[in-house]
Amino acid sequence: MNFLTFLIRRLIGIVAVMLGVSVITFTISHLVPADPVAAALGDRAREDQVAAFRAEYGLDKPVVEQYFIYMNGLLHGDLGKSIRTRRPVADDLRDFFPATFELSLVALLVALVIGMPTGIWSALFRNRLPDHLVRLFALVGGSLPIFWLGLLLIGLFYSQLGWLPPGGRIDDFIPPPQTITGLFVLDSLLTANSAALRSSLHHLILPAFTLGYFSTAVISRMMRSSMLEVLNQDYMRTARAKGLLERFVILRHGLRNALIPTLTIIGLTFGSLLSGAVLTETIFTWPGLGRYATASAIGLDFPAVMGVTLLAAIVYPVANLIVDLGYAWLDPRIRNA
Amino acid sequence: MFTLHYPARSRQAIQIALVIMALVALVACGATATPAPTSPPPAPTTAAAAPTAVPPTAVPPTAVPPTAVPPTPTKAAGTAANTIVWLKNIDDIVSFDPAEGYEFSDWLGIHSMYDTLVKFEGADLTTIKASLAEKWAIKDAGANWEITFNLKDGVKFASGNPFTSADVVYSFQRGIKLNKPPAFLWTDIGSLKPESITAPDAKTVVLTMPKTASPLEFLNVLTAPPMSIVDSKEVKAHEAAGDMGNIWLKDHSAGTGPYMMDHWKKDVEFLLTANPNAAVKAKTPNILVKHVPEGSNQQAQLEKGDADIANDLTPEQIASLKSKAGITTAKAGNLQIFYIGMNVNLKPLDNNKVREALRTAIDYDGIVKDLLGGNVQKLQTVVPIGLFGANLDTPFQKDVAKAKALLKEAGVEKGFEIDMLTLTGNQGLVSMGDLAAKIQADWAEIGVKVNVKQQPAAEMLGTYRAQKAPIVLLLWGPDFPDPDANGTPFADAPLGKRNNYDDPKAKDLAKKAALETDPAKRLAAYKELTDYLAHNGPFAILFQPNQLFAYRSNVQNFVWSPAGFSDLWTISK
Repeated sequence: MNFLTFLIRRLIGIVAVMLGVSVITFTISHLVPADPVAAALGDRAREDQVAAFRAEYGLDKPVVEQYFIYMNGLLHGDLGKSIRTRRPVADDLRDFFPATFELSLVALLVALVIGMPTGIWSALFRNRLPDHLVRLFALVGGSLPIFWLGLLLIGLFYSQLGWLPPGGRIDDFIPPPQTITGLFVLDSLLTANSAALRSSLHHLILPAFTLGYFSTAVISRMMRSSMLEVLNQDYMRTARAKGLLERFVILRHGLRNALIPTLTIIGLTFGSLLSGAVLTETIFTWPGLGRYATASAIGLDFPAVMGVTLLAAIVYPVANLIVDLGYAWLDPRIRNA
Repeated sequence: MFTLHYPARSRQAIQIALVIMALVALVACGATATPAPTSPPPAPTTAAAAPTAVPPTAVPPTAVPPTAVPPTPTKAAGTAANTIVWLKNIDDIVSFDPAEGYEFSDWLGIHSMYDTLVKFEGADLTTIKASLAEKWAIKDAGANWEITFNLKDGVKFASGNPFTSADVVYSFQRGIKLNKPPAFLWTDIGSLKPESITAPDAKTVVLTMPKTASPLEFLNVLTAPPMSIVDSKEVKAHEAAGDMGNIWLKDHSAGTGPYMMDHWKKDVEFLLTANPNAAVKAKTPNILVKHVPEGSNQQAQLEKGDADIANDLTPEQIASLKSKAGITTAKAGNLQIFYIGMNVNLKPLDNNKVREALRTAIDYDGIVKDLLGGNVQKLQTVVPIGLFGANLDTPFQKDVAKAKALLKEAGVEKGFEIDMLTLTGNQGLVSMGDLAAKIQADWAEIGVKVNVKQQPAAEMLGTYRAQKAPIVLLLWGPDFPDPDANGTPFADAPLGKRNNYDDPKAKDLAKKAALETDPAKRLAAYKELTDYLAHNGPFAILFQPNQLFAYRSNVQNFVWSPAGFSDLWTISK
């Protein structure tokens, strides 16, 4: 199977997943024993307003018909209108998704930059002080609830030290960069806006660390165990016997092989970062998709819930696709299979 | 077991790399941790603020891209001197169009960007004062009431357009025609149709309403933010596809009020800047309302001086802030009332003695003082403190023996078991679960077993609207500052109806009280209605919550109206 065939098959798979997810989400959201109109119009709407609202959102039609109308709109790029915000769902996603994507990307970066070296370090110094310290660090990361960690960090770095802001994506008094991608850091770089770049980086540190700490712990633990397994392999001994420098043995022969299982975890981690951002977003007032999704679900805003779910149905398979491509890059046996 | 023989040189290299990485992280942290620039705040943005009278072709009818906002004031130490920074959960904002916005945060902005014909000032909701109308008169015109308003001279909109009676007619007709959530205020409360609103001349407006509506009540309605007068020329210039400017007004403004909308970014912030053409000048040029839903984060920013006012703190947080230097805490009125609704179609709740027994078994003082720490006010009738007609009588005290005797008289001395629906989470400072548990414990003392079922609002309201909820524990806030905003809902629909309460006497009392045009007689009529409902209705009224605030001590003239907003233009620091 050549690369193109592989890619086409995966893309077809993504479409199939989206279709399945759309059917399941639509069905579940219409089976909930509650009235989205009551949630939207509140306690005292008149019957004619309720009827007008149902007609506006197509809620007066049979569920199957509603689904086909929705899918027809979807094929034309229309995700419908949010019941809660009364705005097109596509506009809401355009506003909120980049914030979560940026936060998750940086959190993943934090997890990789800290988790991988500490995992390697821990393995190399197995059962010695550095190993104990790293394992303690990972244990804490795996145990601390995100909201508690976030509050602790705000208390320390904002309230006590005054080094970092307590929330938001950018300082109140600095205009956001011109929107190109919606990622403030990237847009600041693309528009050479140094004030916005500084401020947006500044605002990312605490939430990204809070969100990424758990993943850091997972990656560190995974890296350690993979590395320990690899260090025992015959090819490592052979590499040393050939007289290679130890750092080449570790980085080229050891790390490359230890990365394969870790890569799987990284792919899964990115998905969980996206979906797990809601607490971090709440604590740090981060205007992202997590809070939007939660508020939409509580408010029975099913067009918004559908939009978020379909977006997730794209992001997860794409993340897995990237992981698969990473396997092929790391392991020639997979590449040539 | 394999033992790693790790050369010292490589070990050192890895260690050095790790240390460098740690240093880089620290430096990055330190570099970005430089305090925000302390450049002095610029001249108030009012000086540079352009009126919103932009030619229609220059502004697309859709919302401005959220990130394309004009520069906001620059920061000095703490918050900028020309800006009040207010932290609040504002995820309820739907629109700043007065004819559409019907949430508390919508009204916070609308109230300070627009004027109404008449108004209440500050926290007083009983004395109507002139606003855009300098005087008004109610005339009995046979089959109808006529309210004639004489408008003020020399008032200008933010665009510079003069305010005339055509703007009033357009604003009211627009509200009816758009048929958004506030439309019922004109159509149901005022019984108005578009043609009922006329302008004999540029400075006079006449509202003609049938005698099924109350002119006194409608005057109170006219103080509410949906009754704001919009700049008809400006709004018409931004119409798109017959929307009467609705899309444009969601995040723009066209009023005569002290502020104008600078920008609103959903779930992030909205910024109001002073209106240079306003008759009443704002004391602070900018009001920045930031979406900070998490109370701990609000508290941290307030303590640090990065915010001036915090809106959503818990009673515990308010208590902890009381001793902090530089911070003032305050309690303000709130017109909401927490109540228990009993479905009179179900046995034994159809027997009023059972309902009276349940009302008598509740430990009202325990709820007010112990459970809610004195942050609510005792209230046992349906018109809350702060409104005209409020009935402050407290006829019920916890009396287990009396409650048991009433149950015995009703033939259910052994008690009964029933479901009680309530909301999940907190409603303001009240944990609905804790409150339900308290009621459950109180009623257990008279042998009534309550199964508490906490549900999301959408689910619970569906059951309640269908008149199928056995008992509900809920809250209600009046839509406008008039006692009929509670009188009719509790005596008739929607709340009475949802509890299957169909009592001609209660309905008649509510109607008479609403339609009474003599203030003294109206007051007496509400006393009679509220007394009657307290003992005969399907409700147990529990309390009225306070609104808690904390703000920096240099903030001056911060007044919260129980109607749910503040006169932002009076605030200074």
